[in-house]
Amino acid sequence: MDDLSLGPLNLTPEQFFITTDPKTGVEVSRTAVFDCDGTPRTTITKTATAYTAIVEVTGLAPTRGTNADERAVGITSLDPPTVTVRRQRDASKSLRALIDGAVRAVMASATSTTGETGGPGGLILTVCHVTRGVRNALRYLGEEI
Amino acid sequence: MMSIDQLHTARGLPKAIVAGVRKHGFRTLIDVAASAFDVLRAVVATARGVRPWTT
Repeated sequence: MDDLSLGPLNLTPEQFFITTDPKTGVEVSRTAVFDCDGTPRTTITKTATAYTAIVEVTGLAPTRGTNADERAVGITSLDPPTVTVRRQRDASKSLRALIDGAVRAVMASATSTTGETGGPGGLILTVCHVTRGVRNALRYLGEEI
Repeated sequence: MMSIDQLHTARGLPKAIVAGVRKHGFRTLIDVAASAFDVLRAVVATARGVRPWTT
């Protein structure tokens, strides 16, 4: 695993790192972690074929697993909320799918934990918090978003 | 990191935005605008029945 300071953003190795194949030295994935107060800790891994986002919120303990609808949009786990989206030729389309999937995973996990959605305000603020985290992590990755 | 209690409230959001502007400049404000756009997309998707809320 190599460290890389990403240009003007001056990221630390905890915020951005590249994973390489130990045998060949070829780059396997790039990972960015965005963690600050007031935002869920968001980890995004970019491989050759997919983006994987993990959104960590303390206190989440969903009482169910993923259902078929959620698996269809790429949600692989609710604890922690994890979503995987295949990279498409149109990058913005896959990034939007990643954001939507992350929001839906966190909402489903939070609703399953507390038993309530939080009302319209709660839903809107959940979207707001999660998208800020995902967008900042994508910016750490160098994606144009 | 954020707790599940904070997830549904705006508590700490203004402070986070101010801290973000100090650290990353006006890109943070663009992020806030973009997240508002994401909220709008989610509301429209729900209203159209494309993406129902999961309970």
